[in-house]
Amino acid sequence: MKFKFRHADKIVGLFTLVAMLLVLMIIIFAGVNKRWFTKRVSFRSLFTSAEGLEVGMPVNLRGFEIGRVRSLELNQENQVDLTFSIYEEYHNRIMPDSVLVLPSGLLGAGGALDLYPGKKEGEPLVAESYVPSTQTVEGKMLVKTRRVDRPDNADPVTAVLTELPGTLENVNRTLEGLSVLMETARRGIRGQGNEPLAQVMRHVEQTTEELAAGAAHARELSHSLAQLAAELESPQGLVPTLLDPQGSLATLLNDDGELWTSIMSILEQLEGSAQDVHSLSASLSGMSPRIGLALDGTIGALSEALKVMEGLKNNPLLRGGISEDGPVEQGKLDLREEEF
Amino acid sequence: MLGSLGQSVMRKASSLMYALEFSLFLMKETLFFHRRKRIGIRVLVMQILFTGVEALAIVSLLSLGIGAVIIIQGAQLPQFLSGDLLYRILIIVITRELGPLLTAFVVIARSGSAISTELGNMVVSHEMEAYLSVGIHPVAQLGVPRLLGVTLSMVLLTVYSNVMGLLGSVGVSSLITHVRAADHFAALFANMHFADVAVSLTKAFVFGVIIAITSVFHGFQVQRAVTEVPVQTIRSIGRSIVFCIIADGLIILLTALGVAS
Repeated sequence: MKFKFRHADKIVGLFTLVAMLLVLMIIIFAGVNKRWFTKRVSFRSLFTSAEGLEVGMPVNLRGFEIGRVRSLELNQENQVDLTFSIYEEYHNRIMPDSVLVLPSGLLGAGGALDLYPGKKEGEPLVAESYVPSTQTVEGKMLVKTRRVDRPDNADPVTAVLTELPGTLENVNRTLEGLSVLMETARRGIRGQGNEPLAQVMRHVEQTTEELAAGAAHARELSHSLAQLAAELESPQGLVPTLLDPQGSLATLLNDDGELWTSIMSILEQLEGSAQDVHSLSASLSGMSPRIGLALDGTIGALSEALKVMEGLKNNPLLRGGISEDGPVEQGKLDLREEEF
Repeated sequence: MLGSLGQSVMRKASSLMYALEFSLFLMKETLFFHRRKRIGIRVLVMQILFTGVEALAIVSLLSLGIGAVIIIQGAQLPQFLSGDLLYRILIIVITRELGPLLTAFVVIARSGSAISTELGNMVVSHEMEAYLSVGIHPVAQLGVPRLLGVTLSMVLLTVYSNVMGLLGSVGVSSLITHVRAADHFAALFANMHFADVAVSLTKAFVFGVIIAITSVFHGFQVQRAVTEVPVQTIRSIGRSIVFCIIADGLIILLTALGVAS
């Protein structure tokens, strides 16, 4: 019997076992190389946009992969919360003031986050600490003040590419400032807002309106003056007519004192009337004590009459003996109720 | 003419239904293979020996050569050998595509044709009647161990094929780029995902089932004459290749849809 038929079971067993071991080895090697079994330390960061970011993206330190992005989430402030994990062996590199950088996507670069460790000495950041990104003000300040360990760029192209985002950001900021300035100037020219230019423009507008009104008055005045001058200049005008020796005033005044006499007589009559009124009031004041006494008497009589009426009213013999008054005709209340 | 066309369609539909029923019966019997352990295991071992172990040399050589050729041809493109792109291409081409497909072609050529021929000759020599006379269903008795054997062999051979293909590529790549083989392997494994291995083994399993069912079906399609045997064998080879390529396309499509979703 041939060897392979005699030991077929063993050969097939070995064939199967080796294949299974190979599969197991592939999975274990892939896992080790992908650091499936490596302990990781998580950190947090903040980005303004998730563009260029993705879950599973490597986090590099000087070209070496030291961790991966674990999660991305849009928070309530419309910013992107990023969680990334660093392999435990690189945890001691994550010093305070460390910064995350998303490289520019120009010329195929990018695809990984760069971590610049902080220069501050001391203990490394603890798990779940916040590591700012260069998309935040804090991160930009750390890079600008050179508080991070950032490698010097080896070649001019890389240097330009590295500096380009910052430069573009500055240009963008300047353009935004210009845009705001233009808008402010436009609003100021329109007189909107509380800026000094707007206030000046409002004052100018108000002054212009006042000037326009003054000019209108001046125009009316000059028109009146022109009319007056025309009247004065014209021989048939009102003033010459009035002042003319043959005019209305002269005619009125040259009546041989008739007007004067009439006025004087009216005044004398008025004086007489005034004297009559004066004497009437004097006589009334002389009669006033007697009028007072008469009124007192009348009040006493009425009081006595009231008592008599009360006595009559209380007398049981006279109750119900007096007929009631008839209906009294009501007077007209309104002009509309009268007959025409 | 219309009548003959209708008859032809009816015949095709009838044979398609028969093939479908045959496949389902074979798969159902395979699920109950453990009941026939005493005889079946021996046939299964021999099938794996013939389909898997004996084909290991040619599959390994083929994969080693393919892996090396990919690197040699790719070296003409300078950007090919730089970065992780090289390793991803190697993994996709060798592990996901060529590994299972080349192994399937080898198994079709060696074992698929052999199964059809063997079963066809057994039908011609009235062995099927002998099985039936003692109350054994010949399809269950002869087909199930072959289906299991071919499928298992396909999966195991694909593992060897992938390893050999990657070994060949790494070996040649080390010679060309003067990078240590250990570093190549480290980069290769770093770029390998679990999905790559899973897709490769899934394809191997599906191809194994297709090859076994097609070969057994065509073996049993022989009626009386010995001259029918090569005809059915050739049909079995051709259809196995076509079905494997269609299945490959479907798996790629499903994988792509799964990745997209």
